[in-house]
Amino acid sequence: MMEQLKSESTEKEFLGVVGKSVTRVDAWDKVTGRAQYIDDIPFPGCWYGGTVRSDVPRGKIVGIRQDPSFDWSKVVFVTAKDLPGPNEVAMVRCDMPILAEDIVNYVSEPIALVAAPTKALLKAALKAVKVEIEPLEPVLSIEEALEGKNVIWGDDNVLAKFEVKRGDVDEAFKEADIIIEETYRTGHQEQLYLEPQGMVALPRDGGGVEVVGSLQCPYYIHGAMTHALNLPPDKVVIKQAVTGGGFGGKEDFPSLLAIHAAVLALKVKRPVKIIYDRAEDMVSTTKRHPSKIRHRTGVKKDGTIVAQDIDLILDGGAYTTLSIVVLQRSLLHATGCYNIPNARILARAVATNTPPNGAFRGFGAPQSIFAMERQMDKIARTLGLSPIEVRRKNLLKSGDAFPFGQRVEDDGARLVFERALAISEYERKRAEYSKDQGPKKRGIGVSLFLHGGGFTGSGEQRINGKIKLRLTGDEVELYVSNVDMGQGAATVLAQIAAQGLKIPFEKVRYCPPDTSKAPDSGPTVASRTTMIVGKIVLRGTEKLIGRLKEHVSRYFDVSLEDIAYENGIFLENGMPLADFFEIARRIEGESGPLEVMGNYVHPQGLSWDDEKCQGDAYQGYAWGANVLEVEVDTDTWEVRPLRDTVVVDVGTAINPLLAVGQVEGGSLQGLGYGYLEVIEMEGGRYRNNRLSNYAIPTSVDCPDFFVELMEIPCSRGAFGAKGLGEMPLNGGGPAVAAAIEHATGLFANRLPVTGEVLTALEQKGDERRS
Amino acid sequence: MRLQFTLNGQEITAEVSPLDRLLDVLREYLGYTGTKEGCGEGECGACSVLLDGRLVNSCLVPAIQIRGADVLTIEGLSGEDDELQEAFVEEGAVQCGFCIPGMVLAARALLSENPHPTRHDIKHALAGNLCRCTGYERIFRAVERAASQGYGDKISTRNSRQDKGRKSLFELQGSEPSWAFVPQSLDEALEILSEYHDVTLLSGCTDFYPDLKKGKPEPARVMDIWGLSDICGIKMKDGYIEIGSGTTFSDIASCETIKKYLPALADLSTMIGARAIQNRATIGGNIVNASAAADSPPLLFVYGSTAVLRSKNGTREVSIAELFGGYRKTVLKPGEMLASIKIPLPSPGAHQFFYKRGSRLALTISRLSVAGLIELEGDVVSSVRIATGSMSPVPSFLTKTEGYLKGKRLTGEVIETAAAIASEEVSPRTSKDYRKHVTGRLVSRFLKEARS
Repeated sequence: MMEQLKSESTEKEFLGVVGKSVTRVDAWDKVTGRAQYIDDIPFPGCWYGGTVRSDVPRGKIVGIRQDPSFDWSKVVFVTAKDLPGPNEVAMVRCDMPILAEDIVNYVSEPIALVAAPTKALLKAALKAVKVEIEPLEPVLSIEEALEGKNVIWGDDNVLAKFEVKRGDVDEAFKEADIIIEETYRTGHQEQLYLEPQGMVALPRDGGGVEVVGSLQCPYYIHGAMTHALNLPPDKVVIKQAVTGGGFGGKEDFPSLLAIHAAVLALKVKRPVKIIYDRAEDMVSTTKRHPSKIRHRTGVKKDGTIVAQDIDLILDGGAYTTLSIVVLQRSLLHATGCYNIPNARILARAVATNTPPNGAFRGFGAPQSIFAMERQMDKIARTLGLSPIEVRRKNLLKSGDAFPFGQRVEDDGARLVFERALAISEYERKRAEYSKDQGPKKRGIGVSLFLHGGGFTGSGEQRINGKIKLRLTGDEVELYVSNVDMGQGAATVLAQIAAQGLKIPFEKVRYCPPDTSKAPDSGPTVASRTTMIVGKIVLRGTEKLIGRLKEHVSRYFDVSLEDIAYENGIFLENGMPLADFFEIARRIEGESGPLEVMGNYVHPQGLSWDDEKCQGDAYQGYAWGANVLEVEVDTDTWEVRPLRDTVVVDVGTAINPLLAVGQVEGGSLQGLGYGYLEVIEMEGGRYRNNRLSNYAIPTSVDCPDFFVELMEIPCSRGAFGAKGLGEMPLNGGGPAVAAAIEHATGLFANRLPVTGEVLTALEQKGDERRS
Repeated sequence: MRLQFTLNGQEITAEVSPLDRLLDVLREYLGYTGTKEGCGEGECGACSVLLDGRLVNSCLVPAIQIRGADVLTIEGLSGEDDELQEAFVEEGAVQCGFCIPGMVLAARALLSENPHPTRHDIKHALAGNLCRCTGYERIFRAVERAASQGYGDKISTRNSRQDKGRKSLFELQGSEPSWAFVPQSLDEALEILSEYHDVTLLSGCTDFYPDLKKGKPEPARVMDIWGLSDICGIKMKDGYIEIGSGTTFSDIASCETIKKYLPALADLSTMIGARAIQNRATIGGNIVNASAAADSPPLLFVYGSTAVLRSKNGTREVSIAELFGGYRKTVLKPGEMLASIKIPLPSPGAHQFFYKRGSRLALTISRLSVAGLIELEGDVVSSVRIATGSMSPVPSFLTKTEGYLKGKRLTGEVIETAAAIASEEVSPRTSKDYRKHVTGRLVSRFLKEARS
């Protein structure tokens, strides 16, 4: 319906392409196998790089022994002492070494690097290195980190801490009829992009280095590389190859990998390629932060929440990576879609001797929203109310405030919730499934979620993103540092540019990110590309049209004020003068392609206090509701998702088909997080370290999806777009826990809800469904 | 060795090593990079290609086995003129694209066999091809769209599957290494086996390459027995069915005789990995690898099957239940090879049962399995065998449960008691409570099904 309305309204405009499901620009290359991912690109004379890793979670490096029977002259070997600059991967902090020097802090931590002319020789060389490590007692859990017996980070193992308060929680608790307390836990989750991490570094003539790889954030790598290699910015070039999925996994980690490849390439003086195989990728790259979140909620008998006290802890792993920002987002999403008049949220990220956790689609929000949504179900269960009633009572409405002070600007939460309940026929099915007999029982569960688009707080001001448009005689080249990793940025940003310029979509060419050509429009993260970067692109288009008008004024000797630009044509007082590309060709002939920059402008009226975590945390919120139906075999605890109805408000959907694809894919990742994707730790090691023991959903584990887009525009996003990419993941976990609860009567307070968890709950004598 | 095969309709010659994977041959030797490596152990499907018309994971096929074969990769489809590829583009089924070449080939394999699949068929046919981006919905729609345009009808008439067996595999080319053997008959294979006790047999290789990935050293000598006609096929004999050790699970699953007499085995065969694995994994390999998590042994236990072991010096038969000597060990002697499995025909009224619980619904390694065979006289148990897998180094019979049930009337109470005994009888090392619980419930389910 919305989709239809949109196309009608834009049809009036010349070649309007926003709101249309144009075919993505890279589809044919990918479906024919022509698209070149990093391991597909030939690099003549290329050597292969590999990594020597720690086998213990914590210890002192006593010696690195190179087997004398191996011919070391054939390969290049690098340890921390050979690094050309500071042994730091510059990220939010600089606490992570490029190669461990004295101390190792996690299993799989890189200690040395090898480059060899063939894969076979590389393998042999890696085998010929023995690292002697004197083990130290590791910190392996959130509890051990907080206990502080062993301090592995700072004074107290706390990587980051924030607190937010609203009203008076202790006073309000006195007015509550009941205080409901529960502790929720979530486990690691692996991004499992299908294309493993890979990077090629090439030494450049005249010094410096170029890196091509599978990555999300060219300028993060650029910054880390100049820091690590002591190189001026112009001596480092980062290019993105076609990237086979990222989901946050290629946000922070590639900085480390790129530095590794570059260090080797500079030493070998040849291109060096490092491609992780799946097992190496799974054991050594970042995951979603495990969490432990305690909720205490004061409620009235009718389900109204009067106060909430939340203690939120994330396990950051051995180094900071992005934990500070992940924690902030966790904190800011901790009360979900509900109006909490009195709230106190303490959020901490702690260090453990486990591989560092980093970015993963949702970025701290899925943990928070799982806990909050489960707590709503717990409140309903405790008070004998329906999960729907309790949610309706407390929904955020336009004008309500979050605990950190920001006002809600639309009724998205209510609208998506009611729509999802209606089209999924929730109430009817809830009643029907409650009657199921026999061992196979169906259940239906709901979750309500949101996601703040763009960087938290003043992050976008700090990034101050810029884009470049380059106008040749017959097309507009779009230069940004935001990558297409599958989500469709290349298509959507080109749609925005085409619409802004009122030229045919085919006339805009998105250029794959290359830091020697594209300005820093920021990283491809935080659901910011369409919403925030799209807006910067739009500013660029306005500027370009302005510049063209100046030329038109000169060419036709018309006063600037009399020139209008409509539907691709420059007019003087309503009379056509020339079309866009006539002018473009003339300019190119005269002085070559015209280049303009688009700049970020911070929206007025938004303010943020970083210290206090108070104010306008995000430029807009997207909302979603997920109604999931499952079948649970109560003999085997097998869960079969049947139908998933997802209604999301994403603001304007620039490309509805791509938007729906994001919602479906994100939802399935959320479901996987909810009941399938297990990582168990054993002495600081991931036990689930390969595809055969880390199960993501297959086509058979996948429900039929019914996705509806609701479009409540957000003035701060391009053409009204809100952040979309991450949000759908937030709703999967709690929906699957709720649906399983309905089917089995068992209330799981942790993710993933595995057979083991259900067996334990049943044995504990948790009630079967009434 | 010099390798000759047909790639996308073209005759190709390449100098390769026998154990190079088809994936490496394509990508590294020939520059066909449309085929991707996502895991290297048959768990993601990104490297799927069609080998003699069948879907396989090219990361699990040694070069030595593609001599004379017909390989179709994504580069062999007609791109903009191909309705299946077009459907993927038009339905928005492509996101990061890394799984897509394999996914398209899996879809093509499905449509060539089953031109008008249901959504259920599509889900199962694509289960070996992981996609992390799309949530599969757009992919299902793309396959449905291509099917509705008659894509499957067009290709199934154009290239009907050609099972070449070893026909053209015999022509050895160039410098065959001395450590890789390609016997032409079982006798020749046994001859080689008697001479070299350290030779590793290569059949479907679905465990071989994953083992190498996990660090198992490369074998000193290998012998390719894939498709050796003496050990392939299913034969109905007097009172039993004999399955050649080289028979794939796809062939077992689609065999009418198996479906009729050994329906539990037919079901089991569709639960092994996913299609590309079933097209390569053989029942012999599943047995002799002696993996604790192997699917077929527990069921073969309860069928009372016999392993036919051949060597240069003769044949001996060993009960499958006595074949395993411990974790990943069998009682096979040097020079011996599993040639076939004899399965006695269950009596017409017997109920057979196999249930596998992995971590997800498809493409999953068994975390526990339960197999059963029961005969009732009225509602009295006249004979019963129950075996479990994945919970101990070798499959085991639930002898206490069997003993309890023998001669009992299958009342609700007896069933629940048997279930309780069963769950106490197994001793899984990890996830104890859960696996015990599920074992008990499955035994109960089996008995209830038998009674009804």
